[in-house]
Amino acid sequence: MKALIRQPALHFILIGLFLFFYQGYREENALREMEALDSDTVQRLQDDFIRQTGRLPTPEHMELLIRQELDSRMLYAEALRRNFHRDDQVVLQRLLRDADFLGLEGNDEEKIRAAIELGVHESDEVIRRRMIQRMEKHAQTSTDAPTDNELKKLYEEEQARWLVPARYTFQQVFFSADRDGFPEQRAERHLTELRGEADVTEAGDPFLHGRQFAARSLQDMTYMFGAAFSDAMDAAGPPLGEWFGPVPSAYGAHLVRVEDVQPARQRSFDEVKPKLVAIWREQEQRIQLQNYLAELRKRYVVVEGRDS
Amino acid sequence: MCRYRGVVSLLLVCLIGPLQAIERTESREPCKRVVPTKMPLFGDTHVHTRYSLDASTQDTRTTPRQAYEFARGARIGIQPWTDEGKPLRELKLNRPLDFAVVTDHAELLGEVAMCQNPELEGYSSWQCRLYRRWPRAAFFLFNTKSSAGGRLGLCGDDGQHCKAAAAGPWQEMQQAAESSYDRSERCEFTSFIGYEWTGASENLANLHRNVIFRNASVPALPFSFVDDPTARGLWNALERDCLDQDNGCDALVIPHNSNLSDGYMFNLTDADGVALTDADLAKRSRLERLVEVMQHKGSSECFFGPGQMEDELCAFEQLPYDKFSGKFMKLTSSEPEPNDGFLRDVLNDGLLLQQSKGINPYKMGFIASTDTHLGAPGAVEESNFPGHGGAGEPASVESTKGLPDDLEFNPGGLAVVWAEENSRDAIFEGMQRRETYGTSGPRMTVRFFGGADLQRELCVSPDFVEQAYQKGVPMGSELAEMAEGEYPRFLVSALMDPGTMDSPGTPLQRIQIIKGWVDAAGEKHQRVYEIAGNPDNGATVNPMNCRQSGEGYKHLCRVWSDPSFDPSHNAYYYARVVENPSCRWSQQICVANGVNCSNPGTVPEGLEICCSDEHRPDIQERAWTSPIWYTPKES
Repeated sequence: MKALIRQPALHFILIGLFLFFYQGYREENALREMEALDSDTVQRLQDDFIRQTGRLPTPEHMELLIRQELDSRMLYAEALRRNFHRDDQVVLQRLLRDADFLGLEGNDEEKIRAAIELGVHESDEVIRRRMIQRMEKHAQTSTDAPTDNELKKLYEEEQARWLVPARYTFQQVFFSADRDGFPEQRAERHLTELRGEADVTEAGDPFLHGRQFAARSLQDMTYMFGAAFSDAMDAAGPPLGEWFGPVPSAYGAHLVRVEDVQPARQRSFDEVKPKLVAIWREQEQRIQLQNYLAELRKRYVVVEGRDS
Repeated sequence: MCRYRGVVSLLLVCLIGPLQAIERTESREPCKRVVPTKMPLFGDTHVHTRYSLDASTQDTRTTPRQAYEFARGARIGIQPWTDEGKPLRELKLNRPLDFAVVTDHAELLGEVAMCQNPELEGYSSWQCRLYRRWPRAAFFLFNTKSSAGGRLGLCGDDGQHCKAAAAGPWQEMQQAAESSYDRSERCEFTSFIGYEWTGASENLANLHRNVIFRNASVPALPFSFVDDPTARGLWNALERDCLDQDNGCDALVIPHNSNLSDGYMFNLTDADGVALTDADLAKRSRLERLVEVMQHKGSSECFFGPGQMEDELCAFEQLPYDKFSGKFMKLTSSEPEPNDGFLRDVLNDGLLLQQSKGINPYKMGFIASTDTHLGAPGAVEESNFPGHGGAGEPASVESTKGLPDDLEFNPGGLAVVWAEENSRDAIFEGMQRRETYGTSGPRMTVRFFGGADLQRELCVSPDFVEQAYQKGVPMGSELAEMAEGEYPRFLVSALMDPGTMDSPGTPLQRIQIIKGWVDAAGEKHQRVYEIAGNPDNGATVNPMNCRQSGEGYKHLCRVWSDPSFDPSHNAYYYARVVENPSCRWSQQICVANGVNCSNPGTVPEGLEICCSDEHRPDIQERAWTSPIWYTPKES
């Protein structure tokens, strides 16, 4: 054993390994330079913002847009360092196509090498996007599972989202406003006839959506009959099993008999848990990416570009 | 039994006969809300999210899951974004949808589309410049070479490595659809798994098609234009990987933007120059049951221009070019022409084929959709157009720097399906039987039936829907055989969009029936009949303030028979329901910015286009029903 420790060859190997990792460590932690955006790019960012929003960007907006552009360049540079352009199948395929465009000869490997030498991977927007996507995924590797407490907090935050509205099952008889100017009066005249009848098929005007409606929320009613109808239904708190009205709508007046009401209820935590997990994961991934970018920004210095 | 009219459910059974039960291909809770006579469900079948490269380069971050949630009424953020990933702007539907289909480009990187869209960064890359300068040569290299070589050597023997790279997003798209699908008895929302096959012909004409799957049984990977650049390649792949799998898999293919296809979308020759066989056409008619009649990039209903100026409503949202490349290179496209692939003409071509070959491969029903690249399905209001892919805020007085999108684009439309309940099986079957219509955005309700026995009194019968189902066929169907001397009658009934509290609906102006037919000599004909309402009702919109005036109709109904019916002619009929005039989205922005074209001083920088010749300040929103076909008896 002692003899082994004294072996110069071993020392050689150890020193070599140390230098190798040290070099890697230094490289990993060395500040990296990144060119500042040229004026054309800044102008493009501003034009895009105006086109998208119809407003001039504030100085804060501009700062934000510039930082985002720099972030994506940073991610791209990191992807290059990791040689994603040499091992990502989508990028390689794309390079092959680009090589075909250029009429480069050779087998697949030769074509790819030639395309990379020409810097094709740096000018092709598809490759750039793909490499940035890969880096984003790379930054979002954590597979932590959310705790119940975290999910409960999300559940509490969005109470309104888990509300199941009340649903009404009802019949209606329609009196068209197009027929004459007085649909309400006709409806009132019929109301007396209808009272006490369980079911009616002859009264009123034909209504395209029919007579019978099962399990409709007030919102459903708004979409089908207009807001006046659902407002009136809401205000009336219609009695079960009795004809009442006239209820106004976008089309005329209606007599309505509610047969069943399922009251509103809050969906339970367990019921919506899968949704909460999905929401949590999206948030988590966003945070991971932001943390990664924050770390990365410490390593990059922005230097003035050639055009300034 | 049918005497007992007191019991509604029995009555329905009596009148409609035993209803065709929905075939159940998935397990889910039965719906509480079931309407045997069907209800109109509003949706969007054409939605791009961040998985489409042409959306993500514009910083669209909406995931498929968020897009489905948006359809259900949730708020989404849109670009630009803060460091913390918070959006600076938000978007929300004021009326949720009943269903939606996220259709990201199967090519996943959307590269094919890239060179055709000047809004993309890569548009000016050297590859795209080459692509555009020598499209034929580039196309040859781009497609023929790489597709002839399959997925290339380094992808493994049958491309498994490359396919594995694409599988991630496809999985996520499926999970997103699953998590948004309401499998509870409430049946509030249906999501479908889908994708877009982004094909183009050799001269860059648009051949794009959306693929929609019936349920969660889907092929392991979407079949893309990279896999095969021909449409029959897509049909074959769907047959092999889906229909023939015997695992409940079923699919529909919906072509879109035939207005940009230069006539290539519906052509008997495929993109590689090979003639389609009768077997190919049979597959086509099995899969391509619907077509998108309208979306962001214009209407494909009918041509308006030299030679066909009678139907002025055809000028509605017609694009000024016949290929998308025409947007940036005038020479590569021409002005729209009658044979570019406008559906009225295509449907007639189908009749011709029926006459000559005994098969009609173009028997397609209508839907409309958006093609949003913001992941914002159903955001179709003229007053709130966020742009096709770039923008996303209500146009406001602040918008002094021009329009949020190019003038010729529009907010797109909606797909409406008549279905018994809001579930995948019910909606898919509705699509398959073409019981659908498209709207240019508003939510009017439209019924359309055909049959020799439809009586004039139906419009005043409270149970007219039940009777119409019993005595006739609904939109999208084939008329039943007619006895000697009988002739078809058509029932159209339409309710205006009731609107919402904030934006009331616009009254209807009229209903038209459009008839297309081919005569014994093989000549194609088309004719528009005014059947209800009043085209001269005097309703107008004041372009100075977008205020509407004049009377319209809340409801229109008519039973109509064809005065020039000839039992020996193949024919189709569809209904077009037209609203009173209203302000186009672009005009609303012009008005909000105080533009008055008679006073140049009021036109702010960037909005000169408000007063240009190509700007049409007013539109008439509309719905197009699927056609009903008539085929002569074989003699």
